[in-house]
Amino acid sequence: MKRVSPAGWLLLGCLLLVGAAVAIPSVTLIRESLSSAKLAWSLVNYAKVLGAARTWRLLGTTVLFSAAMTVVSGTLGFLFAWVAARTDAPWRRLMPLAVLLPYLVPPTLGAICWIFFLSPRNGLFNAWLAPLLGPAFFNIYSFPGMVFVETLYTFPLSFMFFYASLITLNPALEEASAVSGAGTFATFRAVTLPAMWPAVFSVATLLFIVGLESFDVAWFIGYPAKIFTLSIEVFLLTRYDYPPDIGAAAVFGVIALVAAMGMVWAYRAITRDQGRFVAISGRAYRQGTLALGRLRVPATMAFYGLMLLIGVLPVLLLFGISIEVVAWPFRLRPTPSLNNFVWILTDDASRAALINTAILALLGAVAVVAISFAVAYVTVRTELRGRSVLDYLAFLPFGFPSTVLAVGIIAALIQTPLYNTIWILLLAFAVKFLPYGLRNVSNAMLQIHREMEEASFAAGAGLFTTLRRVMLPLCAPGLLAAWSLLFIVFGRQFSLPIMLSSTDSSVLTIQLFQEFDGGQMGHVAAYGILLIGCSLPFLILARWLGRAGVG
Amino acid sequence: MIRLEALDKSYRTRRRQLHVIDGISLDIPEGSFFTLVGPSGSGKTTTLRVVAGLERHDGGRVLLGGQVVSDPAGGVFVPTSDRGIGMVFQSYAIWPHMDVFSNVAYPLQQARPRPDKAEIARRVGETLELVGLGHLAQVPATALSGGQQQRVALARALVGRPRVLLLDEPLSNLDAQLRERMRIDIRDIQRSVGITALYVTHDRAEALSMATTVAVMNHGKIEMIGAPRDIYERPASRFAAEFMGPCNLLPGKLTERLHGGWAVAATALGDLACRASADMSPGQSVELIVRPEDVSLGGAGSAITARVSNLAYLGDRIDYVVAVGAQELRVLAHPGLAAEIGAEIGLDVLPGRAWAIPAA
Repeated sequence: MKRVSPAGWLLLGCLLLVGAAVAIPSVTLIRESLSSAKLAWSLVNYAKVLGAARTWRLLGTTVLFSAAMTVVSGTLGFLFAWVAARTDAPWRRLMPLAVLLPYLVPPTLGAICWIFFLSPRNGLFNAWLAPLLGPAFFNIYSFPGMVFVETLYTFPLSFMFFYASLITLNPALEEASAVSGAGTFATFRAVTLPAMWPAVFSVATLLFIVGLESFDVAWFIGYPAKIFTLSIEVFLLTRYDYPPDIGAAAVFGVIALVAAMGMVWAYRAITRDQGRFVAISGRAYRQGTLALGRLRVPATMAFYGLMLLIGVLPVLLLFGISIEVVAWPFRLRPTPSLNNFVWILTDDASRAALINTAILALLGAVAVVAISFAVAYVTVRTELRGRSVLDYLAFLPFGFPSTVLAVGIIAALIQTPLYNTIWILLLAFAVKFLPYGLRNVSNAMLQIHREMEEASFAAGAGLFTTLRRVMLPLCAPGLLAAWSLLFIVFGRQFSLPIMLSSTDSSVLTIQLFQEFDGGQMGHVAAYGILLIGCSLPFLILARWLGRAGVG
Repeated sequence: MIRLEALDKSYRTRRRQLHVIDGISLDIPEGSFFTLVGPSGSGKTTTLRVVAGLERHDGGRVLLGGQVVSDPAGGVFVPTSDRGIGMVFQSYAIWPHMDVFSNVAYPLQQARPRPDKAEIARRVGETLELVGLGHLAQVPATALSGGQQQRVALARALVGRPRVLLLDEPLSNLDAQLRERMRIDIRDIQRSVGITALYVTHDRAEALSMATTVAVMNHGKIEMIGAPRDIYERPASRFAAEFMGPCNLLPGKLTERLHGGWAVAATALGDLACRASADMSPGQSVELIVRPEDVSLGGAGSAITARVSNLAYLGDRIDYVVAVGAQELRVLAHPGLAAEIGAEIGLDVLPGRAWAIPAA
């Protein structure tokens, strides 16, 4: 047996850590799904769940919801990314920046705001448009309503991915088509779209996975409308129904797990193939501009209109409500006040939740970045056998719906003192968002010339000295950017806390939900503005540090 | 000092096994400046990286100063950091988050036992003086020009007094003038330190001007090893001849062996006095390698008459293509020569400059 190299030890450590983080919840889930009150091993849960018509209905709803959102969001994202990257639409250079605006609004608040806008009872737009369209024309509490809101808040994601692919597509390919006599749209169809197929497939898979695990929209909009999806059902079975039916929840979890592995496998197969496309070269080209003609101005107006609708209006409304200039149901008031902010900062439960949130976001982001750094080094920088296993393992949680992951964690840790503390939340955050951290940190690490590190080895430094003195300082901007994005994501996380937190380990989003349930819209809005206000500087920081990935 | 024994490395692609290094054996004596030269993909950089321990090989052994540092069959692999090497990279790999001093001090800080602060400062200063950067110690590395970064990289590679100095195309990112200057400086520094250097390049001027010994590589094999003058004037193969510079290949037959390596070959230009290796005998089919600079045009009383079929005026010289019967020749001529296309002109091959190799 050969001596294990330091890099080998690092790989082994990462494999154990990540392997345990992924395997323990998954294996527990499978075990729970196969257990029953009487027998050690039984298929009772499967028989019960798979035999119910409700199961198939809600699985159908989940898939249909994800598919519909994927198609709409993907199409919109592609079209606008193409407008921004390729055409002569005015103000196109600002578009990739403007698209971050809706990104600032967490899906929880997005869902709430659109309830404010489109609720059949007192929705703002419904009220304003009543003279034209009749009362309660829009009903947010419906399947199209769910798809609509989910689309709005996945659109920035799909835009950013497509934009990144489009600007690395050699414009000479399109110019050659134009020189050959093809018009703008013929070129789009014959050259741009085919060259973009791998990107299209990968973004579609990504969106579909996001749709499958969507919780916020399904909870705030779907549940009141009695439209159930898989994530919601898992939540109801574990946390809402009494007594909880962990076995049945675990069966749904196993279904999701199998689907997730398939989707993650497909996603990775597609993104791996992307490298083979010579058209996508990894460097950004100076972009030629295709003439949009009469559509120039309408295209720009449509884009910024959409940004206004999903990014600006909700924030304005929340701000208005939070400082009591707007009362809900909608009524303007002349006297602004900071009462709502004072309340969320002084109420005991609220303050404890805010402190928990800050701890979770700060520490959770540090933990994920640290693990990502080690894992990224092994997978990106070494040629050790086993690194692809690690890469796959670390990416797997990307496909686990949060509620499913949470059931696995609950079942695994219910007997430990971790249960009902914020540490179980920290653990869940770290597992679920490792893929996000890893993607950002890997990208940062890929930018660093291999010889930087080899020079350190040649100078006589071992692996850990090299990591500490060369790789870490060189990666620092990328790590800080990844940390900022994770900080934002953790602050707004809703589906994991709603599964895992107790009164002692409540977080901001849980308080926000309780105030919403209690009709305290002023408090809801104040929480929302606090969340958005805290996210903004970190988003700017991540942007400024370059290559802000998509959290 | 560096010894490679039957070194072998291959990648298995979907279709075939690709030998990047195909059974190379080398012995590089202490204090020599050894250059590996070859086209891209010839395996020269991979060989260097195997010596450095930055890449693994499949067969054979690597020895540094008599110590086996890598032997897959024997399960020996000394990691790069423990091989006692200094290395200069193509991209320089100067760490941008450190200043010049810290970059150069780094190898000393890794040494066991670690020298004290004063000793480190003294040796860094000494080494920076050696490469001509004594005044720049506190400058951030990012503020340096390409040439200066190159010198810092050299200082960093030398400061720890390694057993061998490895250089991977260190001059390819510099502009032409700076490159010529650095060629001389690197050579001088290597000589004054007395270190064994292994230098990889695809540039034949670098190989010829810097090295004490040159190895020409092709397809993972060594085509020829020799002193620069041997490599250029007495190449062992057609590949070595053509890679090291433009040449005319005249098919012919050896008719006579003379004393002292001389011979006579019958070619399309008539009988030419040439040199040939000792193992070649009369009657053998040969190719005569005639460099363009070894042919003169316009001499009075030349035995051979050529017709100018093309020319390119290059300022410091004229690049002629002339025909003698059906045989075309490239000739470098002094720019003073004023023969136009179609002109008839006398041609001489400088005696003893032609070199015969066996016909392929």
